Amino acid sequence: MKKMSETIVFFGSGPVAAKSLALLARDFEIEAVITKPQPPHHKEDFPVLALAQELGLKTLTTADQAELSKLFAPGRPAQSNLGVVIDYGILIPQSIIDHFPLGIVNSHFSLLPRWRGADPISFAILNGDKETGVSLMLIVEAMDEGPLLAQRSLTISPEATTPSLTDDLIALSHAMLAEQLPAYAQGQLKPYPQPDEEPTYSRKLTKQDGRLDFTKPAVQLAREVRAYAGWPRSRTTLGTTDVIITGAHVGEGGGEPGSLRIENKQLAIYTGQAVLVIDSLIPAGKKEMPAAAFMAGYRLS
Amino acid sequence: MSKEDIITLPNPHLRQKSQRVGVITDEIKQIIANMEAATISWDQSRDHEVGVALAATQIDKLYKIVVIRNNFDNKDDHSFTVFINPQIVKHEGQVEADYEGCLSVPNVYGKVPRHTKVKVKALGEDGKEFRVTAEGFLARIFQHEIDHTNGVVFIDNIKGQPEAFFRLDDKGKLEPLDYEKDVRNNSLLW
Repeated sequence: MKKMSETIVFFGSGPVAAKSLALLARDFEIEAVITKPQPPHHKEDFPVLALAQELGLKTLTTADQAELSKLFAPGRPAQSNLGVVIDYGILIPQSIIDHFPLGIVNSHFSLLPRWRGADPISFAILNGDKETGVSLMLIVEAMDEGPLLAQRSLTISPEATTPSLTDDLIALSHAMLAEQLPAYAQGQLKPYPQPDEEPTYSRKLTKQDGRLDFTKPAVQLAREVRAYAGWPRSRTTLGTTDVIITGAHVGEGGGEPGSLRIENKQLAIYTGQAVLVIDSLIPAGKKEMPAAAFMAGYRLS
Repeated sequence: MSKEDIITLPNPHLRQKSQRVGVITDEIKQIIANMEAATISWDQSRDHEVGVALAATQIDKLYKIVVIRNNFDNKDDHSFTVFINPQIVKHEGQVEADYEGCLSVPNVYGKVPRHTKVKVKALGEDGKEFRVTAEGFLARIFQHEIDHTNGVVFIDNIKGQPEAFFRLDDKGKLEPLDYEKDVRNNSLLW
């Protein structure tokens, strides 16, 4: 007996989706990729669109939920039993979830029910969590509340930034998808409810989040620098120069929050609690440099 | 042994009953090895399909022997389980129609009603009897392969059902066949 290869429909738009799709396309036959269209005047790459075209995959674009629903109008069914959604940016309505006999699997980058919502990675770092992980979940209409197929954890190192942790989580997510999706398709995995714990929620970051507020404790600001390293990045003004802080750690000391302390060739900023020692930064219009190089080249008073 | 050794319709041997295996001789062991090699060879020639199982009939050996892949969704896993003189001892569950195809029926897929659960009795390669309960897709495979050992090809189960016949296009997408034109009087099939 022969059967058709198991195919999946992939829903995804952002950079995390593109990295995941690149890995999934090696192990699965992709019936179609559904992604957001490239907005007019968009200067950066639109990673999923470009990758899907490069891989020769059937690609369909949807700007919103209405266009998505039209795509699944009666008479144009997808053949796949299973969908996978990663970083898509459009909420998938129940009618489309129901279209797939095995449902739509989402790889969510936290240990659900912790950090439901749009940005679980940044929020795990911001909160100083020691571990996070990946949850494979069957989506339901309520955001991130679906039953789980698998969950695996990962230690967050003290140096982890959102971009570095994202890469680690993508790799873990892919290992889990490669192993668990076929098992689920063959009926060997039974979905189980999320652990009965108090959920926590993440949200989309805004540019405003990137403004460092030195009345906060230094330990929180050091987490912000790592959590916001990809976007929006942590900004402040040193002397008269606008800078992006790219590396910082907590030091001892106390003083007026926001004022500078320069001693032993070290640049530090007093905060609400202890000091934030700056390791590296990007002055406006320049490249990233160590704090010592910055101190040598800029007037700080 | 390769995919060329797999016989296809309209070869009449596919509609003959196979004989039970008495003693598991070296000849039988060779047939089993050939069945596995032919399945893998066929599998590697296909982009959008997986060869999941084979009956000895299909390499033109009329013995009741079936080999089933241990992993249907990983083309790199070449391991099989062998079932000699397999017999369904109990049909359970519901009857559900789903897609299946056959290495001996090129280009056709059918939506075939099968039981969702069966109990099977067989001999292993060591000659010892064992029983398995199969559910879902594996239950379908057993019913398809044990049909082969009785001279039944899967399309015989859906004869006269125009909406049950499909073909797989180059891109791996199923499209309905025109029953009147492509199926009913197709001398390659019946």
